[in-house]
Amino acid sequence: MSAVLSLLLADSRTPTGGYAHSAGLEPAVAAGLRGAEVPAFLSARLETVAFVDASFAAAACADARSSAVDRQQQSTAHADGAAVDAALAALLALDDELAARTPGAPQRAAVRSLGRALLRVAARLAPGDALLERYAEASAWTPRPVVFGAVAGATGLTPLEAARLSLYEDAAGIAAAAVKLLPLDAVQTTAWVAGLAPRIEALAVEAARSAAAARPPGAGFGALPATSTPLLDLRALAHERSDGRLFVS
Amino acid sequence: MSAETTYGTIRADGPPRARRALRVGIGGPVGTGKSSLIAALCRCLGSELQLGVVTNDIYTTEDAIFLRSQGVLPAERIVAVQTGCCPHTAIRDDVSANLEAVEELERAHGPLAVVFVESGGDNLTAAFSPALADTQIFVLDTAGGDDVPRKGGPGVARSDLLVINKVDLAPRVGSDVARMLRDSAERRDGRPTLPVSLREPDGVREVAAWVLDQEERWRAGTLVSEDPGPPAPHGPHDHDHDLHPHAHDDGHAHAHVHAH
Repeated sequence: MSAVLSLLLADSRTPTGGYAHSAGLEPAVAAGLRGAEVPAFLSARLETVAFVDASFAAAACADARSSAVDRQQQSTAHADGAAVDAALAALLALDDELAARTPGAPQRAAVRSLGRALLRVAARLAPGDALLERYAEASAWTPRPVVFGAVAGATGLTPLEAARLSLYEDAAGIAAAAVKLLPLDAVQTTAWVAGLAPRIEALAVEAARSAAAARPPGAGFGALPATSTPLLDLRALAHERSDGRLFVS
Repeated sequence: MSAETTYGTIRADGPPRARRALRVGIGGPVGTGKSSLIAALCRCLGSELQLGVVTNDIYTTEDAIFLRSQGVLPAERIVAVQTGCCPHTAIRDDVSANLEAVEELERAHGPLAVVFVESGGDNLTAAFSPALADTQIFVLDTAGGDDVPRKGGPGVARSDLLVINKVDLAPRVGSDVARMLRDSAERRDGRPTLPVSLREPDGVREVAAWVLDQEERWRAGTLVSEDPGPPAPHGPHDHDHDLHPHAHDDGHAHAHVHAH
């Protein structure tokens, strides 16, 4: 069952709003990036911001799983409160940690709306999940990486799976945007994503490891990576002011 | 968990009807006058109803800027959503960005009576999801060719209201309005079609009356929208909506207002 859910979360046909985002590719193209440079762009994101996102997704997934497991062990519906409380506090702390790693207002707005779209779908994937419900109410930001991890955990996926999906989606989303922005063959961009598979797998393992090192929640958040690409942040600011854009971000 | 608080303000089914605005989708090909129609509706209804507008521009914020420049609504009640080359997806397959924009608008400026969601100009197969629009208007114009109603598509055949715009231009572009209305009637199985000229001082009156009627039904909980369904090839006499029967609690499938 988790294998199918995993596919579903990776599927761009699942209505979570990703089609309107280029993960910074559109502003990069506006600044002169050529089709042949898309693989380098994909790699740069994977090693930096996508790796951060994946690590946060893995950490949020671990928190959601711990609360889910604890809940299963409890005999009454009321007794799970403490586990959900703890997991909720951990997710909200992850929000803050990720905010510190997301300096640009446009990116903050983009991951917020993507996170909210994913929560909308999650309300059907994990109906009545107390943690997701309370997080949606309590989080002022609902950034996608944290939401993604929490949804993955609530639906039974592992932190490694959450990290892998998060990394894959970053690359696949850019590849999909690339064929709309540049004269590229979609078969070519698909092959580029496939070519990154070994690196995605290695980074996923590393992201899951950093998420594990950051536990217990709050104690070791320094273990979560803070790699960034300042040029993406700068261009996102210019993109927000552009009047000729196709993609939100 | 109570159904009302499922995931805070993010609900799979949206907030309860009575507590949110009627969402009117406005679709149709590029250049048929969707933005102008919305501007005219806002001008006509703005003093009577609290309104909001979400636009889905293809490449710019042109439509939102145009509407703000018309001064028909406070600028902050008109918001633009980018659709990443996919105007069709944004109103049908994945409405999350538009839904979010509508909900934010209502949160920030509510309570609103009606929110218009303007699709980025698309082709004849575009149609709003019932998850986004409670009722929808499809806009064609005489300048796009008088054979368009005959070509059909979900918007032409099953939108809640079909508007044939720019009828004042018909003689100049060689279009036969009577033919367009006849073909529309044949496609639409009794659903209303209105010929409109926004150049006339009172040109939007009938469309505005239709919107008011829909809003009243919405508040009363009796509005039943036709879902245009996915694009499907069909002739004028294939009533393929019959293949997708709508189940309603009261067993009453179609409650449509007809053009006066």
